[in-house]
Amino acid sequence: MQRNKVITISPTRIVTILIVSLMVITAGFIILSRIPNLFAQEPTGMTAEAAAHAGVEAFLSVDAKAGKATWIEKVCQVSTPTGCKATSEAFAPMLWPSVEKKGLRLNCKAASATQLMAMQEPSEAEIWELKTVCTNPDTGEKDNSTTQVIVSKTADAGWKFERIRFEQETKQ
Amino acid sequence: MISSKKFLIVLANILIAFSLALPAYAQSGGPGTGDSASWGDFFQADGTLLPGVIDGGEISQPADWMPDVGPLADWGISMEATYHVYTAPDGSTMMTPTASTLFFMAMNPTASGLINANGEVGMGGGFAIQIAGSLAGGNTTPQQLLSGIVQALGGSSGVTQIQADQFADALINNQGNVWAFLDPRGDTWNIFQQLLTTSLTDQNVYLVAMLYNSCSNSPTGCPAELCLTNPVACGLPPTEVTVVVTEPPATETPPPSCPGPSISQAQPSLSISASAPNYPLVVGQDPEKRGADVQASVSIPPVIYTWHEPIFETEQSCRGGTNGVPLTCRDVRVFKGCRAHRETLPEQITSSRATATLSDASRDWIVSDLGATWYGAFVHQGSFDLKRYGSVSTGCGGTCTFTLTALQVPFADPGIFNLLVSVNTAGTFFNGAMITRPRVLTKTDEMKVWVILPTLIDATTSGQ
Repeated sequence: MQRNKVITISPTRIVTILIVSLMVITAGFIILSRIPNLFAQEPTGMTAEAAAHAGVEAFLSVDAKAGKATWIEKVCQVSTPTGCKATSEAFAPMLWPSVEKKGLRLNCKAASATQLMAMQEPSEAEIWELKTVCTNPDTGEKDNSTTQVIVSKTADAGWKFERIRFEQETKQ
Repeated sequence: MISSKKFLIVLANILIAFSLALPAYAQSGGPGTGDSASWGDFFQADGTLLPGVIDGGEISQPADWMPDVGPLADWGISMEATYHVYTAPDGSTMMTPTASTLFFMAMNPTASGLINANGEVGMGGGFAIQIAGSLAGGNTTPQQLLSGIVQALGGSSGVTQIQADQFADALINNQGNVWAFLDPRGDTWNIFQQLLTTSLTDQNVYLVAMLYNSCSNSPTGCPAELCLTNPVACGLPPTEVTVVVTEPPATETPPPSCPGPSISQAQPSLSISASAPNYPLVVGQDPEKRGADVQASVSIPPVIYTWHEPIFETEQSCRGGTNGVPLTCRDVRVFKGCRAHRETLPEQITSSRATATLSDASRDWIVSDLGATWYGAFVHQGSFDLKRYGSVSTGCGGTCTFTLTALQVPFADPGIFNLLVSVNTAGTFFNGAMITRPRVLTKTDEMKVWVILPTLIDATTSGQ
């Protein structure tokens, strides 16, 4: 014959257990927050070099036939929110009229990249210099050149493209 | 998207600008007084346009003071300066550079005309400058003007007055190489970054106005609608005068011995056509909604105006000196020939139009023939403005051009569309005299938009 075992817990003990559990959980959170590196996630998104590659290739590869909207979309995919806004609201209106006038199509690839500078203020950013090769698929014409770009670190998506440096800036 | 905080800052800037601008206007002369125009000639106190002011929209123009963007410059791609243009009923014109254009103007103040060759503010390019409500001219120094622009551009991103003054000093002290002081390791570069980012992302904040007393002196010319209603404001004779004035200015009228002036101009070329695809399908049937690409272009060669200037030399003419007659001499002007002058006068485009209109026959076919088979068939969009679907670029370096590239225009009706491109020109002027009249140039063409109609075939009779 089976006999049921009855465990009796007093209300005072229940309250005590709850308080102790709360204290343990709170202490755990405090300790974890003090040692973020131990539990930090692996950085997501692109490295600074990859962001520089992706940014310069998207920005320089204009295609009058595919249109302005397609170009903006491609640049924005690899840009910070500020870089995307600057491309759509300033660079596109200023650059696109002459792209369309010339009906230009360019395929640009970055061959190599060198980090020139790293900055912490006002936000974490780096300047990279890339050797680029642009080809016009309609004429076969090729152009080798050097381009400097600024990339910025974002909180949630790793490094992203910010903007191309102007020729006048790089020739100091 | 603009955050509500940023929107409020922008709104506050505009309100401050107008609240400062209007008293300044009240003190200065209004239109037609010969004094410089001001923001008050174009806008009401609440920021809306005054009645009769023509909003010419945004225009882009090549400018040699804009920076080059990487290797794109090697392919002839340049950044163009962008302005919003307004024309008052008296012809005075206001051009407001976008924030990024203004930023690059400030980086190159002399080349862009903010500061003239004598180191004074404005008037270098025939215009007066007004910045954020206060008149920049008279006692305003270049340093104050540039500092004001830097503060106006960078105020919302935390640039202080001290930083703005330092930046303005650096701009003025580095006229030879304005970019040289931008070392990425320095504070100035940080300010530059902040200013550039704000300028590039606040495109529609207009802080500075370039004011021209007459639209005929402005780079954009006079709007055709103004020239029709008030020809005098466009520098044209009153409407009842129909004779084309081809004489040169009175002071240069040649004597009978010199040939009269002559005008020549190559034929303008206009085109408008569908460029792709070969068989555009109505978008309602096309799962990709491809539509059709339409391209239009206008090219107007300059007017070549040749006039001749008489050349005189002063010689002594003497009489007497013999037979006891005393010698008397006097200076006389002797005609020695004519010097030919050849002037190249660009014929500026003041407004443009590009439309697609379904032909009457196609309308009838949709409603009658197609409607009989497909009950309820109707015309979706019989006529529309092609400029809505593309980008327009204009230029005027001798030959004046207009180009429209409208991509993936969503043609919703099948049939033949009549394409039209039309431009109004300002005519040409020399020394204030009209050489050729304003005119309207038009070109039409047509394109086909296709539809797929399934046909029911009786299979039992198809083999017989």
